[in-house]
Amino acid sequence: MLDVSYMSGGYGRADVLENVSLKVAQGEAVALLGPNGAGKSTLMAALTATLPRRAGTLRLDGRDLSRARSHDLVAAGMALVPEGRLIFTPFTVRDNLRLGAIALSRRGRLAERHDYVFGLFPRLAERVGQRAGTLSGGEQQMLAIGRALMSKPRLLLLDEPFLGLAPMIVSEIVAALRKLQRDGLTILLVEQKLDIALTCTTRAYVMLKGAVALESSTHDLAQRPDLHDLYFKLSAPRTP
Amino acid sequence: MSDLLELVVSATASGSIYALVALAYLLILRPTSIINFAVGEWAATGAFVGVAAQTTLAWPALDGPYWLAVIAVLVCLGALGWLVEALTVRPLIARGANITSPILALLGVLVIFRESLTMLFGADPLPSPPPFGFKRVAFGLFAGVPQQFLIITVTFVLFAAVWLFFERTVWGRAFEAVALNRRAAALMGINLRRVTTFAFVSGAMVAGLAGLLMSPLTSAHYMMGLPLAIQGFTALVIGGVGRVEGALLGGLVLAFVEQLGARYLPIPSGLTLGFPFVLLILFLFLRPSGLMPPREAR
Amino acid sequence: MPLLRSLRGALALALLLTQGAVATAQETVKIGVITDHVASAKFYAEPVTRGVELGAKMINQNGGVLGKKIELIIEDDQNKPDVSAAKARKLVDDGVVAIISNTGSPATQQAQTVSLETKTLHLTPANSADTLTTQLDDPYFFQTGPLASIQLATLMAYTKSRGFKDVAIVRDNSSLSQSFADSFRKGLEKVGIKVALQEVIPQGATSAVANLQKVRAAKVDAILQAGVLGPEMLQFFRAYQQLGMTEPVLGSYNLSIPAYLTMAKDLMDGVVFVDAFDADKPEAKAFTEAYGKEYHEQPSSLPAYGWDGIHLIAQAIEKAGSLDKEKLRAAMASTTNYVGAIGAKGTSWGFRDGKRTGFDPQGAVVRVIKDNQHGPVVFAGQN
Repeated sequence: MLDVSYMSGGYGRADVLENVSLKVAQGEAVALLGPNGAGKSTLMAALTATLPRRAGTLRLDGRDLSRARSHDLVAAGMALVPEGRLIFTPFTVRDNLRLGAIALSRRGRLAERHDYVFGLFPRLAERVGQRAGTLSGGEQQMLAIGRALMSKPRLLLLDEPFLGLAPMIVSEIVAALRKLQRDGLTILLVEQKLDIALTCTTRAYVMLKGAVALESSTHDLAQRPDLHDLYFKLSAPRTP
Repeated sequence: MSDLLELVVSATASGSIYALVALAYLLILRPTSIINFAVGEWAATGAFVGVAAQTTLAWPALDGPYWLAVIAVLVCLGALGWLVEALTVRPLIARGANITSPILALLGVLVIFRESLTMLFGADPLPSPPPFGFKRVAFGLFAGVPQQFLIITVTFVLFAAVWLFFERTVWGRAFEAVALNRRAAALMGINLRRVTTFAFVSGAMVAGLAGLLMSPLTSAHYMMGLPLAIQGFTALVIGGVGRVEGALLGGLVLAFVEQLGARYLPIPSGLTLGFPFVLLILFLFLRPSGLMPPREAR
Repeated sequence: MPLLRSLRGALALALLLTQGAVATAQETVKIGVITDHVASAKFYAEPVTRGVELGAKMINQNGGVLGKKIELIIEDDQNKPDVSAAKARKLVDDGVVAIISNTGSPATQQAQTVSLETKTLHLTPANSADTLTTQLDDPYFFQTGPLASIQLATLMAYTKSRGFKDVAIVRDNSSLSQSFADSFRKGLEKVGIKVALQEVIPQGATSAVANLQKVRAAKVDAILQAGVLGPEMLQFFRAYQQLGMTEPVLGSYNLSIPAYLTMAKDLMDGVVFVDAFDADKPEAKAFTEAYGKEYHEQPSSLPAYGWDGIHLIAQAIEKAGSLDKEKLRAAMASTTNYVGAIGAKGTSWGFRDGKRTGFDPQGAVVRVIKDNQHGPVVFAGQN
């Protein structure tokens, strides 16, 4: 479904990303791991065309969308739940969700999407008229995910959605992600911590310093006792 | 007492004009963070288009009715707003330029507009016909000329419409969303380029209307743009940049301080022209967020 | 010596030819005009220059001067003093016998340095600044424009004759308006009229209601309008009408601008202003007729200044009998009792008491605006 080749780019003159290539097959749930500053969020920005400078190829279902702009990518079926959620705090839950559906005219219907999201996150239904800024952290994260789902994406990108959340909320959201996958959604999950990634994904890429350093099944990755050292080893300069 | 009430009408009318210019700034500023000082010249253009459409004094001298002038102003200014955005703002944004670049480029646009107006229409002030004449009218205790009441009515209706648009329609919410967080809005699938174009087109139209409404009282004159740009900007700062209602409040506050001060303060008359600047400085120093703070207080 | 003879012959032939060439060049009398096509003085320089052109045409139709036609050479100084001096020099190099300065007073002042140095006859028919003939002692420079002091004195005499005791002054915040207002105040004090208050309508104002409410509350006998900016002038008249005020409105030549009649249509009837043109005078009538025939429209008073200016120069040339610089200067300086299109009935141009200002002190008039036109004279002179 998602085919990224030689993606590079950055915010200013210097490139943050260096020739990143990765693939996500239809229906897969793949993790993107790596320490802080590895370039994971930058890659998300590149994929959603919000990175000022980028080069490389991006294919979605075989369509070349390398030059597409952000709104075109959403219309093509790719949605991002960004780092920090970026929900519109002065707006109500309803308005936030409604905005997520702005690209929806191409497929599906508004009521059906609302029902689907509320079914996934009943808490949102309870607070539909509330100002988003008054929601708890976990509820805001659910809103961010729900909002992204409103455009009926076929590929969902999530950037560190569990940051700062209580374990109970984390498991609620993980359960929701599992259901989404069962419903056919393809998922690319950016995470720092391997243990959470284990519960949601089957394959993982590890990014270090703007490049993909390793690709493995999440299971195999978890077996490695030297994961911590691995981060260090992979970030060490390669000896010829 | 009747003096005061008549002054209230005059100040409300002047404040409405300031509010319209402030609204023009706001429509562009909120989604793009660009301060467009050329709105004053757009208002002047609206005034001249009005004269050209209704009289024989300016090319193309259509000598037509008022509704023709209104349509002409909306169409011409909308087109000019679109053109300015496409030619000066879009290339700069596409190149990832710092936000000050479009602001400076628009200062150049300001000069181009003013010189063009002088070349097309000459240096003499041209009279602009008021649609309802100039006989003094009174509504209850409030007396004034019809044009003042027209200005007040149109302004309040327009503000109500704009408020409804932003608060109650999806596209208005989308506009607001871009103002709150450009990146998040882009991730929703909101077409940022279209929003920017809409901002400039609507801002230009509102500015043009302000000029058309004001010109029967003050004439259409090539120098009218700069004072309006300053008055509108001051109104914007006073009212607060975050809210549509703020622009209206700011305009009214400015006009009331100006005119009530001129009438009742025991200071030499020449000093009253400093009021807008004094208010501007005061607010920028003491309350830069304006009287109505934006709603994203976390 | 054949060579010498042929050389002398050649020289004689050359001289003959050159003299002939000079004679051909001297078929016209060249007179230079400095005007402003593009800048701030345009709105009065152009009408005045038109009057000069029309006057020259009339003079040529009647035989010209000294049997030759007048040829006007027109230069544009953009109302800039340095450029004005440069253009004056160019005109002298082009062989003009006189220069007419039609732009702003500072530009005319600077051009005088050239007329002084080259001893060229120099005339300003429209500038009103009081110090143009006193700052520089240029005996070749003459000013026939209506002096501001004369216009003011006429206005003050009229104001006094109306019996006003308390007046208000209304102005805008431009420097020119401020100087008008200052001169009004001084003039009013001199004739014993009290200025109750002075109101300022700042540039960019959207309403003058507050200002005029204050004036109305002061219960003055009349309002002296010292404004020069168009839109602010319009605000004044709009507010005046809106408040239903009836105090007489008076102004100096700042209110004589024809453009105001269009801009403030139907608002200025009854307003009085100072001018130097009495449309009833026979010479004024003749000028108006000639202007109408040539340009198919009614003239304001401005072209009449230019018309009189070129005629004054023509009569000086005729009187001098030649184009000799000293004779021209003396002829102009001795001009007295020359009646032109400009000036109140019974007044005339003349350089009296050795002064080089020629406008008759009694020559200004007060006119009233009637039916959106500059109407009849209601007062003349300073008494």
